[in-house]
Amino acid sequence: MSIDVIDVHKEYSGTKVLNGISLSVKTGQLVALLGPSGCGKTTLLRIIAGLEHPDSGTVLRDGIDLRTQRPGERKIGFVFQHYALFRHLSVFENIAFGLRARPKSIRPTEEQIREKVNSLLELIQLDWISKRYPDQLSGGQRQRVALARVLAVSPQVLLLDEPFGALDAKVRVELRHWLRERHKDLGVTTIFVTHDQDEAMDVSDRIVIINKGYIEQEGEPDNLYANPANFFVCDFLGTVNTLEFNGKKLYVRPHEITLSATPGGLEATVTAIRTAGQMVQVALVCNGSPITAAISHADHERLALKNGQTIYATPTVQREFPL
Amino acid sequence: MKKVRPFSPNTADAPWLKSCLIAFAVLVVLVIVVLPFASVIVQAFSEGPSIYLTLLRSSDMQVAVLLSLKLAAIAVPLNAIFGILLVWGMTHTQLPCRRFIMALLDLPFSVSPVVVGLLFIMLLGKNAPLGGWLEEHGVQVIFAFPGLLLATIFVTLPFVARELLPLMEGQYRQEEEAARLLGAGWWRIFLKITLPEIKWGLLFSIILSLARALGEYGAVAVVSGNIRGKTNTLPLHIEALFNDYELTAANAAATLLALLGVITLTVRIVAELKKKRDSNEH
Repeated sequence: MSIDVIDVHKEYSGTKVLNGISLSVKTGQLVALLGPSGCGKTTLLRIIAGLEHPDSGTVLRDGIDLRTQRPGERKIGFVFQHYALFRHLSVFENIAFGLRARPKSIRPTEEQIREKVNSLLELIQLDWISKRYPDQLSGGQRQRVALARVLAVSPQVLLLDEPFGALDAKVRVELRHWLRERHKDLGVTTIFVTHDQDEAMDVSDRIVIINKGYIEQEGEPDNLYANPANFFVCDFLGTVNTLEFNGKKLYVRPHEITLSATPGGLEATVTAIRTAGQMVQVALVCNGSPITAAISHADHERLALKNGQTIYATPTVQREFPL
Repeated sequence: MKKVRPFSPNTADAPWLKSCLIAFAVLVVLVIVVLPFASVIVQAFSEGPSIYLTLLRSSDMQVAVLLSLKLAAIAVPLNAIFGILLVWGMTHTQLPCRRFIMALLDLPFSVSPVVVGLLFIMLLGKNAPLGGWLEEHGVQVIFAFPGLLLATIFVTLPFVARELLPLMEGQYRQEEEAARLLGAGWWRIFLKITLPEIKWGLLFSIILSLARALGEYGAVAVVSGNIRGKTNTLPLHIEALFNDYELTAANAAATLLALLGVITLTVRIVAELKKKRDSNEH
């Protein structure tokens, strides 16, 4: 199922949160809405779900205008940032909630509900805690129960609000790989909101970068990283150095700088070296401003860098942005 | 070897101080609560249990008890429904006059019940326009059951709403949104999400308003007209008996009111224990 957001505007008591957002997500895609906090990405998600009304513009699902449908009719599953599990219901009843809430004519039998819930509990590998209550679960478990609760009603679109935001780092990486796999199996069109560029890069097919209620750029993760349209995108997706080189202002990532002991390029002084990691991070001062270069361990050994040493830096790309 | 003497940290109370404080508290409760209570019971039974029962079986007494129970039975559920609806409305919509409504809701607490009774008489009495009009159409409000009911509802109005407001402003709102997205209708959301969240508060406030409805004196006294065997509620009947120097009868009636008080208290304690167990379980 595809989702089309068409020119959506939203304002809260005078503050413009969304300024004409248009976006289309194709069936089966996994799209990340990426942006700093307060950029309007959660509001956009809530508008798609029907929890907020846009001031103008509309949202289509497979060409159907969703404005005519109530939140419960949109066949959209929404996972809240803090999961919003029903704390007075057991894990089993949480997952069964959507099935039990159906009108009598299309409500599954008790037997069918039990089967469906049990198969979802297996999917999230939590069948052993079906009788527990939400506050007896860890963050990662709650997250998976929230997902199962939404999947129980077979949504055609899945919306996730900062799905990994409340988890600790290790669980976060595990869960996002798990989610990626589940998305591959289920093929449900999925939109998730995040402020973490690593997460967006790691999980999604496509990233939409939002800032101050506008879409700055959208595209595949690799393409965005390599060809950012402007300084905001370039800066948001990773570290970037601003260099004056041959009279031009260049925006260069740390690994796009080569260092050499022979004169040429920009003269710089080494101020710090950090060797822990896959690349060696070298902090330099060049024309009075700090820059960072990332070089391989092999290069680091060959150059035998020391603090205070003078070195010559050359950018390997000529990335410019119109001011 | 030197003997180590364990010292008590400065913050710990000295044992004698603890005992003194407890003794003082017990004494206060004894003098102010238990003693009068016991004297009521002793007085009530001073002429023997058979007289006690006869006094309770007098027709005026039975009318008074029934009237009080009837008033509570109508006023309390009405207040519960009104309280839930009002608070639901205040928390789920952007009412501009929220503060004003809250202030209005405090009125029954802050105004003397006697004034409330007088207001009702001035509004609905025979000589008032509205009261006169009602009278012409055969509805007597003041010095009759409707007036008593209005007064009772008025003085117990805030209990449920005040108790529920902070609970329903709580953080379960996202749970409601989640339920809505899963296709649940408002009744299911109320039963499964909202009610479990507020049920103990609701029960407490119902018990409180029940106790107030049964024991209310001031406002009811003004609108009742003290027609014995007709518009006298239990508290009014006690006063009437006392004024007639029928001390034994007055005390017998008082034991009934006290009994109702004890029952409400017991329900509250049981509910509190249950609530504790509930929150331990989850």
